[in-house]
Amino acid sequence: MSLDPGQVLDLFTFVVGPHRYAIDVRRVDEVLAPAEVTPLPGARAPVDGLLSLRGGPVPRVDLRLCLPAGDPPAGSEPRVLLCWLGRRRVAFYVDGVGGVTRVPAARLQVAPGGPVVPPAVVAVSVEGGAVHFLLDLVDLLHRQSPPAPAPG
Amino acid sequence: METAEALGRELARLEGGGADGSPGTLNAIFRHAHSLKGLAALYGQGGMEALAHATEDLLDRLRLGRARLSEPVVDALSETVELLQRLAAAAEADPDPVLRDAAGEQVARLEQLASGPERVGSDPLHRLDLSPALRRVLTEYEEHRLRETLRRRALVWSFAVRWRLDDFDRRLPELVERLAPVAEVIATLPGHAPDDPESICFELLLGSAAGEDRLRAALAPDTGQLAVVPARKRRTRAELPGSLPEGPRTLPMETEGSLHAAARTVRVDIGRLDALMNAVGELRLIAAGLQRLADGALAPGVRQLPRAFGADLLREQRQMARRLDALQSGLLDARMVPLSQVFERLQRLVRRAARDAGKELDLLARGGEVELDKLIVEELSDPLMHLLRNAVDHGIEAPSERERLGKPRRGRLSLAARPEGSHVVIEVRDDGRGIDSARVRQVAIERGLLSAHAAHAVTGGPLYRLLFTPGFSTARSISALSGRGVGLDVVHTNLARLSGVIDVESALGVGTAFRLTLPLTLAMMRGLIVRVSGRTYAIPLNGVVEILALGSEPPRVVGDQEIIAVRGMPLLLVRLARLFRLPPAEAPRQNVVVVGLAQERVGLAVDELLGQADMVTKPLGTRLGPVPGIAAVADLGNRRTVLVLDVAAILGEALKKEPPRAARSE
Amino acid sequence: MDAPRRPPSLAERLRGFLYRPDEELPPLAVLPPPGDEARVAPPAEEVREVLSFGLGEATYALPLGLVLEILRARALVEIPRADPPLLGVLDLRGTVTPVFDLALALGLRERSLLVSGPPEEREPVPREARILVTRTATGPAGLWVDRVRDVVRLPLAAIEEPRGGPAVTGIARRGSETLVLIDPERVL
Repeated sequence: MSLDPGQVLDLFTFVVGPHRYAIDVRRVDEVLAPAEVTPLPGARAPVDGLLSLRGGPVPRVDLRLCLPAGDPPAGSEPRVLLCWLGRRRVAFYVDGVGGVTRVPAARLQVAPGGPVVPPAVVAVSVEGGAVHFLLDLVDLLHRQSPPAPAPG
Repeated sequence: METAEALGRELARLEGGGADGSPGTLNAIFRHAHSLKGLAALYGQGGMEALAHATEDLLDRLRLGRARLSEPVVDALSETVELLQRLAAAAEADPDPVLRDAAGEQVARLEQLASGPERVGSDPLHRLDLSPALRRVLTEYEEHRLRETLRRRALVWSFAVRWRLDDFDRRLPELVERLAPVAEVIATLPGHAPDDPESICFELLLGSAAGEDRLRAALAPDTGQLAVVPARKRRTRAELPGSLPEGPRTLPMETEGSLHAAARTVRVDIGRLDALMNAVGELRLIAAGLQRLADGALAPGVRQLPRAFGADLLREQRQMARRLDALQSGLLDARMVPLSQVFERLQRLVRRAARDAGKELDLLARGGEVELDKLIVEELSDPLMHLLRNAVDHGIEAPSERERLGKPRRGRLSLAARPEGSHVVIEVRDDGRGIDSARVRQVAIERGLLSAHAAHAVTGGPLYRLLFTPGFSTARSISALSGRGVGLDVVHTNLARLSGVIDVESALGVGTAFRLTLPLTLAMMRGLIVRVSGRTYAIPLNGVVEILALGSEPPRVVGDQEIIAVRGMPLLLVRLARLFRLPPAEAPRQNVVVVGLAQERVGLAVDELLGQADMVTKPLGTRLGPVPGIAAVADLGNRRTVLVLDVAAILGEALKKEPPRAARSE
Repeated sequence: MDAPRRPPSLAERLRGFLYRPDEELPPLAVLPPPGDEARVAPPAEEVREVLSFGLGEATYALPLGLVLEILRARALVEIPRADPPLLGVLDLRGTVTPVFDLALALGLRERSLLVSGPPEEREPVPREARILVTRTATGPAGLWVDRVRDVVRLPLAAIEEPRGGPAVTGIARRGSETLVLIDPERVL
């Protein structure tokens, strides 16, 4: 799928640790206050339990375990983002939420990647003086799972 | 909820900040409103979302310099913030319709404050040598800040910097902070792709009046390529205040002399004039109240206040009333536009229609300088167009036929306007076929509009008035009446909406004239307020001829009409309660308001006269369509809304039923 | 995996970033069976937002985008010789807006409400009644309803074929209640 430079992306921004991130706003179904999770035997980090929601139980992922740690900006209140990954919903625990913003693709800086950048960051956007990392959630979660045992 | 509170804090800072509002604070508020809108949408809080959206619009205009941060704006913003906070708090509980109503009204208020005339001026941004790719990615806000920089006679700089991936997100805000005393970071844009995969490049656009040395000092320890964004044209110019960098790459910028071209005319939204008129109307009512107070103080027997006080009060009140008159005239004048606006368009139309129909004619237009209320002029174009088209298509004969009849080959069509007291008369006259009375009667009988007996008794004006009833606008009647019936009921309806009336004169074979009589303005009228069956109505004063008391003699009944004698002449009496199908009221003595337009008169029987008042009228609205007998809605101040009677329509309704012999019998 | 010779373009980088209903999920330790998810609509499907309100005992709904304002019901300015379902008009910030008796127009009631004219001829206005100012082709129109409920997001799949008068555009079930969706343009 090609992206024309005039395309505008609708992003939802949030905070984990000291950094701000942005994801495709269409992924976000709801923003919830943190609530009790049912602990799950056999679950491994970063999944830390199941949330009971209308529509069924949803696994919760603590993004603090996937992304660089540190103190979030003052005034941040933790939230849980209910997001779509494919046809499934997954909840993500974050340190704070920003809001919805639109950015033209032409204003994005490609992040070359490498071990120093927060993982799964595909681009960087500077809006309102703040740096946002555009996060590929699917890729991020792929990286968390242990590699499949090599065949033979 | 926190977002709403953060908004409140920033607003408090704004209120303390002063008239222009620092860009930083405005931006912060704007961002909060924007976030709030997004969050509200996610939470499904429609009322809050709409309110946040309207707030965001208003703030956007403020920060783009398109609206001024005046006191009403700040007041509205603080009310809004409070409302948003309450909505956020209530969001957890059940949705409260009262809050939602309040939110809805607030949205409208904010939208009003946000609308306003655009600033006039040319764009200094064209003078900056910015690449088109760069221009395309700039947001409106960034463009505004660039213009502001130029207006302040500061320079726009470009700083290309490269940072390492592991700490650029820390170094950027640090840089912005170091620059704050000397420069504004207007935009942070992607820089060229670095050859090093562990770096990231940005290009910053800065606005600064400081010299290069001070800039570099503030930028350090970050290094990169710093350059002034050059101007398109190469020109030498006088020194700017503050030192300028010398160097082959840098050139001083053109600065704009003035952003605002001196404009002698201002485009004003007519809604704002209406709002001002409303305000004047309310002030008048207050003035009337003051007068009553003054009169009361001056009345004999009143001991509480000294008479001198009453006299002073009366004098002040009179002065205010005079100023209000002047203000009102000024506002009415602002709404007046010359008829030539619509005449020119009509002339083009007539020429084209004549060509299409194969007719040869001359159109004379006179009186284009006559001015009418803008709304009236706009509403007039349709009816006039109808009348003219009819004249061209069906009135004026083909050139060969005209010659055969001994008429000049070229037909004559005239469109003339002239003022007459508080009215304007517009006449559309042609020297064509004229209206065939016999055929009109025939169609009227066929359509059951008149009995055969009545039809033969009616002549002239009243007969032609039948053309305006919807029954005549059908295909069959086109040929019967040479097309004269088409669309005339629409004309009549449109005119009624404007409180206008139409007269027809015609002679077979000679020509036809339509005469439209319109009030000069709709906006503010004086009305006679009357009570009928417990309801209050307003009768436009310019339609009132006189007021009588119903005498002891009961009215004479002829058919289903009532006639009274006034100075020996018969007058048709219409009981408004009966006409409007209202429950009858007990009234020992009724009053008769004699209304009339042009030559006709009718007496309206009402229960009570409540006096005269200035009223601001509003149209009934497109959704409702024409209401027979009602011309408009008027605001009498005090939130009292009354209906304004359509004198022309009531006349029409009453006179249609008039038995043919009534005028002559005694 | 070998690093590619040239750095990937922005479009390539964003491919995984942008949402697609068919993207491949990571093998998380636990994922519940898909069954229940079908009830909640993923964003790729269309959802319709409606405002639900009560007329008598039943619940009806209008497309939210058509609703301009919700006001407390109040006495209206009488229009003489008005044809029901016209109840009267409101002066809404300078615009004269007609208000219609929606229940009467839908045939739920035989007699029109008396909410205009002099006070002694009027009925008292019920506390919960509201006027929905809606957008129509010829201008704003007010609809008198008995009570307003809330905003509902209905997935398109939940809306069934209409059975009912010409003004009904669909029937939706939400939990135990039924919503009748109507088109104000056709009612009036």
